[in-house]
Order: sequence, then C-alpha cells, then structure tokens
Amino acid sequence: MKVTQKQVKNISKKFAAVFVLPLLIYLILMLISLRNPSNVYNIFSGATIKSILVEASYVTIVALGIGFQLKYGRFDFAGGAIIVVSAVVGGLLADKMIGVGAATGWPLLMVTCILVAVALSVINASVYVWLKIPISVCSLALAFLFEAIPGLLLGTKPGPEIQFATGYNVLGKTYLVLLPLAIAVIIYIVYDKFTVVGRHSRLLANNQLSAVNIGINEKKNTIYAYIVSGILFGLAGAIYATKNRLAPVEAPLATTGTLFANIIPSLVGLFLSRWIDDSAGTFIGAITIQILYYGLGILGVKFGGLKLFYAGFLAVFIFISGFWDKIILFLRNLYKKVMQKLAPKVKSQ
Amino acid sequence: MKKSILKKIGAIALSSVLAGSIGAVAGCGGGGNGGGGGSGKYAGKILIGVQQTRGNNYEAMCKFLDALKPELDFDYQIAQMSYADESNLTTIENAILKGAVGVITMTEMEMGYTQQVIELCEQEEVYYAGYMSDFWKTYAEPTTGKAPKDSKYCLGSVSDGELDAETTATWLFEAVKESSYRKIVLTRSPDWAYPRSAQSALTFKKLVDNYNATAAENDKFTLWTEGTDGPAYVLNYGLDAQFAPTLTKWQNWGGSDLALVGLNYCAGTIMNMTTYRDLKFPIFNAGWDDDVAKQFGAMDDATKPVKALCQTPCETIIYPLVRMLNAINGTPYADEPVKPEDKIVEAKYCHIESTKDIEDGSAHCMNFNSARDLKYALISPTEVKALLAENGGTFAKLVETISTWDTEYILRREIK
Amino acid sequence: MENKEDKVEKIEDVSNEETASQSGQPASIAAAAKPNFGQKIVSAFKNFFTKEHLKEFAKDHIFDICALCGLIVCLIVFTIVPGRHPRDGKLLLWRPQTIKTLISQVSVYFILAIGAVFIYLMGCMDISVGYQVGVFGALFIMIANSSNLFLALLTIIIMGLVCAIFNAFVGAYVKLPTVMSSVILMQLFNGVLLSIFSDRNINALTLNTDIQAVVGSTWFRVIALVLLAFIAFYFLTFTKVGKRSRAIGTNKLAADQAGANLLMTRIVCYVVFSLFLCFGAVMLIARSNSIASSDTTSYQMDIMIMLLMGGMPLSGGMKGKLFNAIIGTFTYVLLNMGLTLCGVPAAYVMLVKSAVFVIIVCLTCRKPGNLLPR
Repeated sequence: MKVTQKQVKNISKKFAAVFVLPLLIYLILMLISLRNPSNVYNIFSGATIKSILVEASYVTIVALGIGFQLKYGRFDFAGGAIIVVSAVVGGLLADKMIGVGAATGWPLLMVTCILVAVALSVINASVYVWLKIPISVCSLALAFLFEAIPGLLLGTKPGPEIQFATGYNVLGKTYLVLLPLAIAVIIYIVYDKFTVVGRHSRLLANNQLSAVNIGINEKKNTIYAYIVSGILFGLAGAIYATKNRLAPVEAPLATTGTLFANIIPSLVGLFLSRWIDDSAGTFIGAITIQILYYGLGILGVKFGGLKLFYAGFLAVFIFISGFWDKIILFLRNLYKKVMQKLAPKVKSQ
Repeated sequence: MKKSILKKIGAIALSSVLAGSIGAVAGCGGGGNGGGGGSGKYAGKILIGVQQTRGNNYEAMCKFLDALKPELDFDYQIAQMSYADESNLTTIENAILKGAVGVITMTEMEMGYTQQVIELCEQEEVYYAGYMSDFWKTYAEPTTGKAPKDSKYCLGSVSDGELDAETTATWLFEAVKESSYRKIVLTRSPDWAYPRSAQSALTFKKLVDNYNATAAENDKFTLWTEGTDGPAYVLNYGLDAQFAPTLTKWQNWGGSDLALVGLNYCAGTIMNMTTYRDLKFPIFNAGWDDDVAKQFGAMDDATKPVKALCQTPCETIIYPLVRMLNAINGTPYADEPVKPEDKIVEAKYCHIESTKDIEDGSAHCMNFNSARDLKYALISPTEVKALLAENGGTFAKLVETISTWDTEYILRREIK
Repeated sequence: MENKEDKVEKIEDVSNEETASQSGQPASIAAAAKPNFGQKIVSAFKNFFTKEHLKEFAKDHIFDICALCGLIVCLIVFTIVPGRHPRDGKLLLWRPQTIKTLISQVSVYFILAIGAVFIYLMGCMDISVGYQVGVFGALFIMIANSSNLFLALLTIIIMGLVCAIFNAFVGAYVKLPTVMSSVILMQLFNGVLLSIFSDRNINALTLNTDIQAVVGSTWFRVIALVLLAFIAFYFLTFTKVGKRSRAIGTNKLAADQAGANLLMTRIVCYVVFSLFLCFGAVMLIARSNSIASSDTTSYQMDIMIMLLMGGMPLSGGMKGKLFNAIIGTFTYVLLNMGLTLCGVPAAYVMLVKSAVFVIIVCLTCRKPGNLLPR
C-alpha cells in the first residue's frame, strides 16, 4: 500500500505529540543526573517506572473526569468531593458486605465506589439542571455538602482499612491499576465518539443555543454526561480508597485541592487533542508530570522545589498552549527568513 | 406574577425551615445542662484536645476517663486538634467561651498561639495543661511578653516518652544491633514536632560510630547520608506521598540489607509509604499507630515489616487531670512545684520488641488489650481519687506513681 | 457632551422659572424656595418608605434582604440556644470576651472578603488567596525580624502588585478562564510556603516585634475594618474603576465597546485585592504574633463560601455588592462559633454550614431562561 507524504506527515505529528513531551522531560532529567551515576540508575529502575505508571494511571482517571466536564463547557468543583466520598462510602459498603479481609475485594470496591459516585453526580446534575444554578456555584455548594458525609458516617471511628488490605490495595499499587484506567479510557472515547449522546454534548458545548433550537434535550444530555463522569470519578475513588486512610474531610472544600492538583493532565489532553485523542493526551500529560515529579525527587529536590517546578511547568504549558498558533507562525516566518538568507549563498555557490 | 409570589413564599418557607433546623440541631447539642455546663460538680467541662480520634490510645483514654468521671465527679469533651495552630486556637477559644473549666491538649502550639491561649485562660479563669507533650516550645523559649510557664493557670505537662534524647535512641540501636540489617536509613520527625529529635539522631550516630570502631568489616553499619539533616532524614507529616522517589532510592541502595529506623513517631508516614508502595523493608520505630502495629512481626517474619514499637500508656492523663481538679477546687498540693520546669513530668515508653511483648501487653495493659478492658488499667479510679490534694495526695506521690510505669511493670506486673 | 449634573441644574432652573411664571412670583423667590440639605434628607427618607418604593426596593434586593435576615436569624438562635455562661450567668454570645473573640476571628476573613469583592465583581475567581496570604505573612515576619516592619510591609505590597499584574495580564491575553492564572499562583505560592516551612523543618515563624498589643487589640481591629470597608465602598461606588468592574462582570463585550479599558480595570482591581491581602496577612500575624504553615491554606474556599453566603453572584456584575462580603463573613464565622457554643459535634457543624450554604445558593443563584447557565 502506497503511503502518501501527507499520511507520513500526519503519522509523524501524532508520534511527536505522543512521545515528545515525556521523552524530552526524561532526557533533561537524565542529563542532569549524569553527575551522579546512581541517580541515572534510580531514574530508569524498574521500581521507578512502575511507580510512574501506577501513579500516572490514577492521575489520568481523575484528569479524565475533570476534563470530561471541561470539554463540554462545565467547570465542576465537585469532582474531588465525589472521589473522596465514594471512596469512604464504597469502602464502608464493601467492608459490610464481604469484609476488609476478603481475598479479592477490589472488584466489589470498584462497583460500590462507582455506584456511590454516580449517585452523587446525578444529584449534582439534577440540582444544576432543575434549579438552573451556574455549574461552578452549584458544584461548589454540593461539594461542601458531600464533604460532610464522611464525618457523619464515620464519626470518631476509623474508616475501613482498605489501604492495608491486600485483597483491595492491589488495585492501587500494582499494574492492576491499568484495568480501571482502560475502563475509564474506553468509556470516555465511546461516549465522545461513538454515541449520539456524546455528539449532542459536543454540539451543546460548541453552540448551546443552536443545539437546543435543533431539538437536543439539554437537560437529559447533562444528566447522561454526569452519569459518565460519575463512573470516572467512581473508578478514581476506588483507587483513592486503596492509597489513603478513609477519614472525614478536615477543612471545608479541602477536596478541591485534588481537582487543581490534577488539572495539568486534562489541560495537556485538551491541547494534544489537535493531533491525538484527548484521553491519550491526558495520559501523556499524567506520565510527563509523574516523570518530572519522580525524576526531580530522585535528584534530591525537596517538596517546595517540586511544587515550584510544577508551577513553572504549568505556567510554561499554559503560555505555549495559549499562544501556540502565534508561536508556530513565528517559527514558520523565522524558518522562511533563514532559508531566504541561506538561498542566495547556495545559488552563488 | 404567580411564579414570583410562589418563589417568595418558597424562600420564606425555606428560611424558616433553615432557622428551625439550626435551632433544633443546636438545641440537641446544647442539652439540658445549658451552655458549657458539665454533668459533674464543676460548672463546665474539661476540653481534651487530641491529635486523632482513633487508635488504641484514644479508645483506652476515653474508656479510662469514663471510669474516672463518676469517681472524681467531672465531665470532659473531646476536640480534634490539627497541625494548623490557627485552627487549634479557634477550637480552644470557642470551648473556653462556651464555659470549659480546663483545657488539656496533646498538641503544643507555637509560642504566639500558646500566649494567646494563656491570656484567655487568665481572663476566664480556665486552667491549661499538656498531655503526651513535653511543652518544650513553651518552656524553652525566652520570655517575651507574657510568660505562660509562670502563669498559675498553666499547670505543666506529662511527656510522651523519656525527656532525655538518649534513652530512645539507645533502645532502637540495641534492637537494630540484634538484627542482621546493616544498611540503615535513620529518620526522625521535624524539630517543631519533637524538639529533641536532632539530639536523638546524634546519639544514634555516636552509638553507630562506637560500634563500627570494633566491629568486623561485614558487620559495620552504614547510614544513608543523602538529603539528611545531620545524621537523620527528616520525615515531614502530611507529605508522605511525596517520599515515593526517595523510597525508590533507599531500596535500590540498601537492597535486602536495608532497615529503616524511626527515632520519633513518624511511623504513620512510613507505613503509608511502605504498604501502599509495596515495599518491604524492616522498620524499627519509636511511637505507635494502630495500622503500624498490625504490621508488627517477629524478626524472621518477612511479611510484617515492623520490628519495634513503643507507646506511653493512656493512664498518664492522670497527671494533667488531677492537677487541674486540684486547681479548680482551689486545693493545691502542699508540695506544689516552685520552679516552672518541675511542672513537666516524664512518662516512660513501654517498649515492644517481640510478639511475646504484644501478648503480654494484651493481658496487662488497656492500651494493648483489644477490648480496652478496665481491669488492665495501671491505676484504678479509687487510687486516682486518692491522689487529689483534698484526699491527702501529694505532688511527689503523683509523679512517683507515673514514674513506676515502665516496660516491665506495664507488660509483666501481677494483675489483681 | 453635557453631564447629568448640568442637566439636573438646567431642569431645576426651568422648573423654578415655570413655578415663578405660574405663581406670578419672580424667579428669585422661587429659587429661594429650593429645599435645603436637611429638607432633602427628610424628603428622601419619606420617599424611601412609601409603599411603592419599598416594594421595588424589596424586589431589587430580595437576596440581600434574605442574607441579612439569615444573619439576624443566626444571632437570635445563637443568643437563645447556648444559654448562659455557667459561672457568670451572662448570655454566652453577648459576653464581652465572646464579642472580642468574634471580632478577632472575623477580622482576617473580613479584610480578605472585601478585597475579593473587587475581582469577583468582574466575574473572576482567585484560588491562590490562602497561599498568597501565607507567603506574604511569612515574608513579612522574615524581613521584619531581619530589618524593620516598614520594609517588610513594602516588600509584601510590591509582591502583591507583581501578582496582581500577572493575574490581570494572563486573564486578559491568554484565552483561558481567569482561574487558571490563580492555579499557577497557587502552585507557586504553595511551593514557596513549603520551601519556607517544611523544607527548613519549621512549622511556624514568630515575629520578634510585638505588634499584637497594638494591631491585635480589639479597638484597632474594629477601626481598621470600618475604615477599610469605607475605602472599599467609596472605591466601588464612586470611582470609575468600581463601576467598570461591575460592567465587566455583567457584559464584558458591552463594557469594552462602551470604552472601558479592560486591562487597566483588571489591573487596578487586582492591585486593590492584593493590597487587601497584605493587610489581611498583617492582621493574621497580629492575632498571635506568628504564622504557621497551614494556617491559611483553606482561605480561598472560605472566602468563596462567605461571598456566596452573602448573596454575591459568582459571575459578578451589577448585583454584586460589598454588603454581600460583610454579611457573608459575619454569617460564616458566627455559624462556626455559634454552633460550637451550642455544643454541636464537629461533624454536624460542617453539615449545618454546608446545608445553609446549599440553601442560600439555591435561593440566590438561580438563572432565568431556557438554557442551562455555564
């Protein structure tokens, strides 16, 4: 089969979009770590790669949940609260049904967390849809309310020790985490590309008034979208339960921190959606952040420094993605100028 | 028109429901005693600020206090403290305003906040004492403005473990020496949490150096040095998830010869790191956490990484409690301490080094007994009542009682 | 183009002439019958309390009235339910010590909230407030301890100005929600806070100079809060920037087309906000002469909750007022204190606060129309 130049160009663009960012970060870190050979080994060791992949999977699922609503024009503050509450309630339900000592408790944990997360998301959507409150305000208020649930359920008693139960925590600390990741990505892609509902959501995001005028039921569509984001947050909640102690939320809206800490991968996904699917882009973003984080940690950068690098990366990324077209135009013009300057020399030779 | 009227009616109705529910919930909380009144003879409760409302020490302490309540005729209220001093200050302020007669706190705050609390205590005639805290910040900083340690409303504290920096470090070194692990990552808490932790680390290093001077080449200890503050790596609370890259480095460095020594209570941090990261290297730790204790195993048990633990018994709360009740009654001890430093009293750690210690603890100590059975209490409510000044108790007797509670006594005394 | 005031004067002159011609009196006598300032006040007062005006006022300010009623309800409930102090027998909420503590707890939030009004009116949001205040406070102490208070204050003000300009430019030129620039600042300041505290193994910084005695006194706090509220009120109501910020929040395009300089307005509003953050940091330090690493991390969300509780729409615009910030701040802090005084367990305190917040949001933030608001 003959491959045209255009096809080659497209494939190489996709390839670049997938691999350039993480490889670039890895390369830079490796160069810096050459001063201390043991650090080179540490950055490439099996344990590091496993940790990066496992962490990135969890971050990707959270980012997919956030990005899902962002993509359709909604900034939802309740994601973090839904993750935490679904972890606590799902964990309590799983503990009540089969106990923390069960040999393979993680499938049930996933199911219970998803059910709770979907219920909370539907409540969020219902209040938004029927009371017509701006989504940011509505989700903020409901996040505050949801955060009170773990305190009421647990009181002063400790939550179930999912974190230390081997039948459960395999989900969050081994390669088994790729299973919920795969489920999340499949649901995300199927909804967006292969369902009528997904197409309607995109239409509503692009031009709300026109979409409603052509007959799309915005309320129904919103509820469906929230069911899907509920599933995504439920998967994240199941992994959250295996990595964290289940306890009441300490400060109001503390869960919004989860949201903002994991927003970069969604932004990267939205940016890379020009060349590849945004779910893949989100995964690339998560991997990149984890490489950065792990690499710098191994090089001895302390916590404050890690956060500063994170902020720097975010700033640079937002700047580049915001002015991407202008940057490309500038580079093209620069290339033309350089070629023009070189061209007479070539001719004269 | 109809819609807007209905909306307004709805708004008024919701507001009334809201007001009613606030009143109902608030009323339920207030109870029949009115305001901050306790159920005892004192017109107010004693606020006990704890670091966590879970775990063996908390459960045992609550059960012990519930047994003391009818005997000493007082009431208490638990408040969860955090690492945010501003939030702790608000919690204590609100409790004092509500009518608390005393504040016992496990969390010692920075000087500025402590001064604020003492000022409020003096205005409201409320007493302040510490539990499982050595009040180091309050007692070590030079006097600027108010001097809490000189205030008659500041009653001192009972410590969590020995007050010197050497005892715990020596115990941990001896425990590690018995094992075969020779590549050691020494960790400690930050100075603000355990002010003597830096000194403890130096003691441990000195013991290592002394041992290495005479040990065979393959028996010498090697300490991890990268990123340390002195000989020890400082583990910071709340940031445990960020230790993952460092853990990888440790494991790659130490391999099967690696052991982690935690000089202070940083086990929670360590457990989060190790269990969820699926890393198994032995941990010798000072301090206790229920989750950590579940991972305690014999030296040859590779599935359970924790090899050493320690904890002060919950009954040491009698020190701040008895001192507080004396102060509220207006009956101080005849031998009341003159120097402020003498108000800080030491409570010894109970060391757990083997599964036998766990079994003995379960049959001799409330903290380690799963049912928190009161018959294993180190002191009975009647004996505590006898320590009150009005019943002939003395400060010396109170201190002596607590000082007898060492590992041997806690784990192996005869239960009557 | 003649302004409104000239037009009003001309109308008055014409009406005087008309009155004079109708009554047969000379214009000078008619002019002399012009009401004086006191009479104007009385007539305005009378006009206000007419049935029609009250109806219209209530219709326009229904949510503000609800927010105020909510605060009054809280005051009544927390006066009655906690009862009296077990030792001195006074009403718990109205004891001098309680009022003093309430003012102490409110003061920082109050300053931050009224500063936040300037940016919330434009429909912007800032989630880096907590970390900014933490860093400003830490830097203030570090610089004051090594040199003097004035230099420390100047430094944090300059830092605030830089942050303000950054926020304004990113919002204006990078086509992303304004919250994104604050996400960057949040991560940046979080990193700085961690570098100052955790990486150096300290939990708090203490100021060597005792500002608590002056700045931390109740009277100073009250005077400072009143003064800052007046300044904010003047700025918002009587200056172009205040009016333009509302216009931007209502309809950015229309404001731009009407001639408002969007960038300058954003810069000025963010600058004012940053100044208030600096004052808030100093007030926080004055509470205990020190600042700890995790004292301020939840402020951004607390401020948002307070503004919404006071009836401020998150999209800003004409309906936003300083009043929202004031009422919201007092309601929030009072709920926290009052529920504790009533003996409500901590888990229920959070439930009640969140329920109140949800109800207020449901009542005040609804948008009309067929389309779902975004």
